[in-house]
Amino acid sequence: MSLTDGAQSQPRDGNFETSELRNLAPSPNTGDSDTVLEARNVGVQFGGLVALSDVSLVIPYGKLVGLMGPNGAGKTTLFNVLSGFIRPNSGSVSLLGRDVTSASPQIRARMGLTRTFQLPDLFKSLTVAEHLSLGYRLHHKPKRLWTDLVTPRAWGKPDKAEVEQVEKILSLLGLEEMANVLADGLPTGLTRLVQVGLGLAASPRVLLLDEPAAGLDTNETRELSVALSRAVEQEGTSMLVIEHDLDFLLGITGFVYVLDAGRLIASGSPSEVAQDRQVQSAYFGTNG
Amino acid sequence: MLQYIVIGVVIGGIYAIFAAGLITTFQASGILNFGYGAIAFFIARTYYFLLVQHQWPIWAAALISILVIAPAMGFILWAALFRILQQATTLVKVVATIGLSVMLPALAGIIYGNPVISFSPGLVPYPVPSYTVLGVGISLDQINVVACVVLILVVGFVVVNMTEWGLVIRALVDSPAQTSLTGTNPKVAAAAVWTIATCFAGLAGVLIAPILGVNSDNYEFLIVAAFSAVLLARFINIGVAILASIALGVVSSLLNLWLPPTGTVSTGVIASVPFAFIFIFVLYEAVRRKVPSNPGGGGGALDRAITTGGAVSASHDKAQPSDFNTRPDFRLSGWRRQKRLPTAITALVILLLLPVLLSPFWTGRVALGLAFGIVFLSLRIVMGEGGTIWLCQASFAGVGAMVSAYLITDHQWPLIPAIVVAALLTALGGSILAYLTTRLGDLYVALVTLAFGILVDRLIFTIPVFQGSLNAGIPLVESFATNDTTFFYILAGLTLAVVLFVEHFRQSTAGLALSATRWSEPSSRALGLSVVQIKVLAACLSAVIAAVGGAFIALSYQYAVPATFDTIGALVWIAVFVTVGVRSTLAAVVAGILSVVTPAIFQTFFPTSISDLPPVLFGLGAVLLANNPEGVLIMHAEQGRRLIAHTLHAGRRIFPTVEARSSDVVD
Repeated sequence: MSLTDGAQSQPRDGNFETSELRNLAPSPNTGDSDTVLEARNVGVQFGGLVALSDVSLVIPYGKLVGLMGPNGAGKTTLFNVLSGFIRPNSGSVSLLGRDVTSASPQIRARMGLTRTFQLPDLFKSLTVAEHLSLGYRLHHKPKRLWTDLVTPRAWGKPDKAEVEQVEKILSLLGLEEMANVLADGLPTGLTRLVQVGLGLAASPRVLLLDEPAAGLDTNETRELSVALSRAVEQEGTSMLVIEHDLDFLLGITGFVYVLDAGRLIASGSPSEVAQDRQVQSAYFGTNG
Repeated sequence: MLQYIVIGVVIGGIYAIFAAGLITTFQASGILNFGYGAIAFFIARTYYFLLVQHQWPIWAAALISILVIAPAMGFILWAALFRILQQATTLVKVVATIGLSVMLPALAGIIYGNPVISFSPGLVPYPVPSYTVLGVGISLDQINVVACVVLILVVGFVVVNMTEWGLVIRALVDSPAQTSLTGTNPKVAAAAVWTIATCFAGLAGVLIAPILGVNSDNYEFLIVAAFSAVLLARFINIGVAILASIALGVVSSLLNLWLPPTGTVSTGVIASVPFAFIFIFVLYEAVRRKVPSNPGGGGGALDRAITTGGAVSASHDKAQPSDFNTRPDFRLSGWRRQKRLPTAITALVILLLLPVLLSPFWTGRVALGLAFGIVFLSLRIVMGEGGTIWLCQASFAGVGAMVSAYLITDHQWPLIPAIVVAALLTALGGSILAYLTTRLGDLYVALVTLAFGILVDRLIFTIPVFQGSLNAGIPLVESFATNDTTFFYILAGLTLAVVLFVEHFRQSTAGLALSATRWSEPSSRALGLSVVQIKVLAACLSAVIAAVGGAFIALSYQYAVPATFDTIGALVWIAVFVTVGVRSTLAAVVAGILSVVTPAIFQTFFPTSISDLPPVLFGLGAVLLANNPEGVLIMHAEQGRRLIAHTLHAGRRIFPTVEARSSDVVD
């Protein structure tokens, strides 16, 4: 099975072509116009520890891809490399056809790559809706960061488009009633949903989700999988999702990468990788 | 030169004693005790009271003060304060211990009186014997200091590294909860550490009294100097801290030899050595790109988990908005989201009526309070919204005052251009400082900004142009400021403008972004925010507001005097501001007025014997933050609301709890 089967190229208009982003060189590696994010031969070492070795993967436009692996496999390290929090010792990362290996997380975010974290990390003094508003403004109205200071806009009503986007995401994640609740003290399940919403509010081209279903019960997990599938279908957002729960991944993706001890050991449909002997060995210490 | 080195070793030994105590208690509880110098002063003052004022023998005075009062004080402070503070935020920890440093000297003044004590006997009977070592004369008092350092080093090393108690103390650093799972009672261990550390503070206080006198300012200065060694030791290594302390002492002493013997510059440079060390440390770390985050101590994940009270549930099936703190609907306009607007308008009307109700003197006091309120409003941005522990705001206010006064009085500039230039200078300084400290942990930022403020005090404010004739500062007289009522209304208008600006900033995208960077830098960066840009912006705006406030403080006094803006003295500003409410704009103005009017009330209406009570109250308020981190204004506003609701609804229990509604007034 090919990962890009059926993927549609969906370049969208946006404001990411700022001067600092234009300085990024076109990626020499990206040959596939359907690819939104690509890692090639990525290697990361922490001292003598090899965290990632020769890892390559692609995320096509408008596809949700899973990333699995036992604890310590290097999944979060790979996320950190893809999102710019860690610079790899070897290999390269390209985003929308640009080589972003050395680009900061901020630049990648402005290009349309956002992520969530394994440990929910919200902005405690903001409400749920304010999280989404901030995510929306930073990507759709980035100049407001400065112009708000010298205009009376902050005293007026929020933009209609902003309200619509916030309401849409609240509805998508079932958070309408919690819109005006402060993030401080939210239960873990809600925190994870707000993190996903924060990522979606930026209308990203690619969203990296680090164990979004951890701590959710069965119903919540089902709701989340529906929400993610909708975001992919309706918005064309590409996603890479770390998850241990194979059933969760089965419901939302047709393609999964499996990492073990820093190496990519398998890729394919969830049912295919479930049958893979290396995967079974990695998870259960046995070949079957 | 040997003479200077020996003196340097003695001075460094004093720093070392304090540094060792600070690190030990920090390791046991995660609290850097800004009040450690005040504790040492209090015990030294007790010793002096018994020995000199009541003619007790040395052994009895030492026994009671060092071995009875000091440990009792240590235990009481642990039980009443440090035990509760252990899981508090860094801001609350810092401010509560600053409160201690404000409260204890004032309390000593009330109990023991306020004589100027420039010399006090130590543990050696007078006349103090002196010896010649390698051709250098050294007194027994000085030898005692060095012996104390050696004792701490040896005993500390043996206890920490070779005994079971040491193992427990080291385990406490990482997790009191995990330590308790081994069958050890972490509270007993922590109480013992605080008790013993307070004894050492008392011993140090008594030992240095013959060298520095019993003066609380000297003790405060020493403790801040000892912070340099603590920082260099990264809050962990007592051995490194002692070596660093000795090095600091020797360098300071040798500068005495190499620099001209007189002159304010020499004095300023020598006194700045420990604080220059802090700056060099930060620059070194910045060059290495090794960013020190918050130091350890005070617990780990398990400790945090078990102190949330188990309130956080994994599921949100049953979660309702009413279970949480809420804010007005996000679809409303910025004006309609201001829930406290009626309260603010009422407060404004009352404020504007004050000149009608009060005498010119009290009108002038309130006007001065408003000027302080403007400085506190600057803290509202950087501390209240940004969550940064910024301890040098008095310096920015001071630069605003001194530069404005210099330009207006010495160069006949008009008022507004002079204030603009002063504000731009502070904006530059604030931006550079923010840039250097952006990625440091909270405690590092607190220490670096404190050092920055002290460097400004010692190196900038001591230059002759700011000292004025007779070292009394620079006169600053504007005709509008000579009339109390006129000045009041001008300041009221200016305060209102700053309040509106601060609220405008809070509601702006930049304000939301600042809140975001406060709580999670990784999530902010993942959103595309530049943490550096936002923090520099906040620091810049904050410094500008502080400078304007400082200029108006000077206008109110009709004199710009550096001592008004002394960084260590102004720690009480931080205590008052945070005590009243760090996250409330109205509280900033109230704190400004209280900080001026309260002492004036005591001076005017109460006997002089209790004139030290306001600092005790301010300090006590800061100490009580451990129980009410949002501040007293919010606490009392909530209590008032509950009382009104109770009265109106005849006891029907329809009003929410304090916890559930506290955020409503945090705006």
